[in-house]
Amino acid sequence: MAQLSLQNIQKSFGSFQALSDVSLDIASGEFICLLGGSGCGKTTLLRIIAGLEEQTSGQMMLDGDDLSAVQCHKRNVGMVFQSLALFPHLNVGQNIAYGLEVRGVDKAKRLERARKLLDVVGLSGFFDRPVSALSGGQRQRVAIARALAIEPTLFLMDEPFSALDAGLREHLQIEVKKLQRKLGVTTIFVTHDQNEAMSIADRIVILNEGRIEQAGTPTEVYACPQTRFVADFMGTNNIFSPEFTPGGPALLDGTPVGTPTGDLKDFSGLYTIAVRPEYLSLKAVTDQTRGLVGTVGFVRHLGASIETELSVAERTFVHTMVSDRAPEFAVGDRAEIVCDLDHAWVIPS
Amino acid sequence: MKRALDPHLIGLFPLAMMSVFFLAPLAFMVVVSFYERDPLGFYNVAFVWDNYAKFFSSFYYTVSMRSLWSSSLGAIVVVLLAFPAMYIIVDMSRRWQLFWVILLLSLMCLSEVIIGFAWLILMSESSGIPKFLGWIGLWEDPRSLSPSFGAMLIGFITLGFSLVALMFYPQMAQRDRSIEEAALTLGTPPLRVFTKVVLPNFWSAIISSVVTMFVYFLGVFVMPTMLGRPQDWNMTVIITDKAVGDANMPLGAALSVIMLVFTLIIIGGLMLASRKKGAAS
Amino acid sequence: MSTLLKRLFVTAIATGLILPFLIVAGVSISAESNISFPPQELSARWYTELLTQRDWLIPIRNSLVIAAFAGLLAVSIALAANYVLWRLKSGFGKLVFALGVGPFMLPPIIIAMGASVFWAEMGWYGRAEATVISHGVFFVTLPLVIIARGFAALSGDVIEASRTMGATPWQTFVKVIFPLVLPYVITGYALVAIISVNEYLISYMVSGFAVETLPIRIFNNLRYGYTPVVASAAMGFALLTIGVLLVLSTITDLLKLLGASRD
Repeated sequence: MAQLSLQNIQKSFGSFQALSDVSLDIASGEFICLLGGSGCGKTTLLRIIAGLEEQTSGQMMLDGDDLSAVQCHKRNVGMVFQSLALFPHLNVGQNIAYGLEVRGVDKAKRLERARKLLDVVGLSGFFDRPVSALSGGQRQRVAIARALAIEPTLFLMDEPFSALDAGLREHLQIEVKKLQRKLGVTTIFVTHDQNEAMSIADRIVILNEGRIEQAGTPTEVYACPQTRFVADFMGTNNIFSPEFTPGGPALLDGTPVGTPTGDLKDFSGLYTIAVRPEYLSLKAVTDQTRGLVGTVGFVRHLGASIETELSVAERTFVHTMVSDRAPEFAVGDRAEIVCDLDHAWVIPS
Repeated sequence: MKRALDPHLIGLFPLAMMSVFFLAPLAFMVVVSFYERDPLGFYNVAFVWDNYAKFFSSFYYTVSMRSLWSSSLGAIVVVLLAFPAMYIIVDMSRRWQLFWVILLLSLMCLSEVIIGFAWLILMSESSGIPKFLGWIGLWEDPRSLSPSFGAMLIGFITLGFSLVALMFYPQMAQRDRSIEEAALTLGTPPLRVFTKVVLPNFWSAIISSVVTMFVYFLGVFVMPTMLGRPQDWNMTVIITDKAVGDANMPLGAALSVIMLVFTLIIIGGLMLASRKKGAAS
Repeated sequence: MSTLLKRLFVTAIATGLILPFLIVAGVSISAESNISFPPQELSARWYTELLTQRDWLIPIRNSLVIAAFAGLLAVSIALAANYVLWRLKSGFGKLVFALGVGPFMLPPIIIAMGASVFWAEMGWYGRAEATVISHGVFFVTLPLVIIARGFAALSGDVIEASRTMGATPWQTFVKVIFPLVLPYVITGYALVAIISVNEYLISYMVSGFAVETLPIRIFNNLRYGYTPVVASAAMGFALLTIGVLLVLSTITDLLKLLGASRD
């Protein structure tokens, strides 16, 4: 059991407001990703949960008890630091056994547990190695094993994979996820990489300028962004604000961009919408074309799909299509852009 | 093609300067240590062991022992003060750090003579601490606190503090603080983090700074003469006294050579130990 | 609680380091002719005496001249040694560099004694030039490590960029390398100069009986009965030293120079 509840957490450093009004409930065994750009407050929030920083105001309850009153070293959190922070003066086994040593667990017991955890992270036989002799990925595993050795109530990770190359990172993401499932430990993972968050989390919490923009499952935050920031942050989306008239086409600066037939059919007035690139279609420009016409600026193959970037005055639109055909338009061509507004997502204003 | 800035050619300049004016004097000092004293000039060319023989007398034994004692005590105390102080200072705001750096650099540059003089005044009965204690009634019969062994030791510490502190500064400021945070999250009580994690990681830096300070204090002249009693004077005072006061350069040179050999053994031992440790890990 | 203890600890140390100088400052502005604190009556007479009497002015001049040239010598040796190390990376460069670090490792008395017999043999014993050279050579360590920081910050790419644009090695040195290491050179020079002004033992053993520098003058004065003019000289010193360092702190980032920055 480890159910964490944050209520109105505020944190300021001098005049800088690092976190404002953060409230979040984390279920026992849940895998949460705190996602956001640098300076959004995600690491500060993690450090407050760990007890390394103190919130300026707000409440933090763990299974109904006030967590704020507990000092860092008594919170029983397993934390993996961005720099890993392995103890350079101890070898691999001593690093993993450290938390048990300061808890007074007897030597035979703690060494046995350290060996077991080394097996779990796939480093059996590295027990007596100095930390300096390990590769990046191996250090990562030692840091994870060290944090888990104390059987933490909360498992916290601060951008642990940011220094690794893409292949290794993906591999470790999968391993961590599996390990977390197996142990059922409540986990909070900080990252700035939305792909990492999407692939690893049960629930993503997107932070911006110290506030929670949206919290939801990967599917929710990707498909139904609640704010413009989330729509931007979660990946390529065409975001614009056309004017809707019931029954007619939506107009962007007076030019029709598509006619809604579904949910948006009866909308009237200006709405900000996000249209994913796969719901755009491109048509050759003819004399009859009265819709939105863009100039192709860039075409690239992404393996399974082809991405085309078009500019319309100051705006940029991105279109993707399945790459089973050759691209229809080349750089410099003009094309009409039609949006499938039945798949548009209205961003609440 | 002619290379205008051949590094080897340029390297000859520092090499020559250091060889002629640093190494050659040390070598020549060894030579002079075998010369005979000339009462009318500096020395006469000779090859005698007399100067070294003089070292093996009870007087020089006593002087050596107290030099070693005051230097090692001073070195240990100054590192014991400077290490925790820097540990705290590097986490202060930038402005306070700048204050400390300027204070330390000033003290590092400031003459031994001036630091010694300042303490002399502070410990004198006419203007310093004794007068103050007498004035507030804590000390009925205030007397000067210097010269004394304690005064000399305080002089050593003021002199060495800035050096050790500035030696610790970069390492301390650049250390990965998340290592200490990791120790905390793993359950180490805050007061034990220092001994469990910080000290072990700085152990070799601490040892080498104790040795550096020890060697430095061996060669200090002004503090013992100004703040110490004659029975506190170290080998350096004796060497200076023999070489300049008695104009006995060969004896001064011989005593210096002994100190040089001793210093080289210590530095060599330290380097060997650190290399061994480096190879082991 | 523990932050309070920490503050108390560093404050106590700062007090121990600064207090002696506050007392000296007090004594130096006292009107009385025997050293006492606190001053009963304020006066600038000791500073006037310091700056008008020949037996103080000559040591001041000696010290400043020696410091100016010793700094120049030390910095040129340090700059050359660093350039060589930077170009050659190993072997010869390391040897030159190691020789420069040497003087710092030895007790000052050994160096002073060596210099003393050496100059006696060379016939320069008692000449200011001898002190200049000895100071320049023995204080080389500080500018050496400081300028090394400057060269460390100099990436190879910059030099290669300069070369591909057609600069000769000499032009590259003058137009790229030198301007980039200049702040470090200035800092190194200033530090050697201040240390040289303050140095006692080497000056004393090389030419002390003939060329009286300010520290020697103060020391002699203390030995044979002293007046508060010594306090004013000491304050002059301390203020000069702090002043130079404050000026330095405005033209270079001292914290970075001493290795505090983590980037």
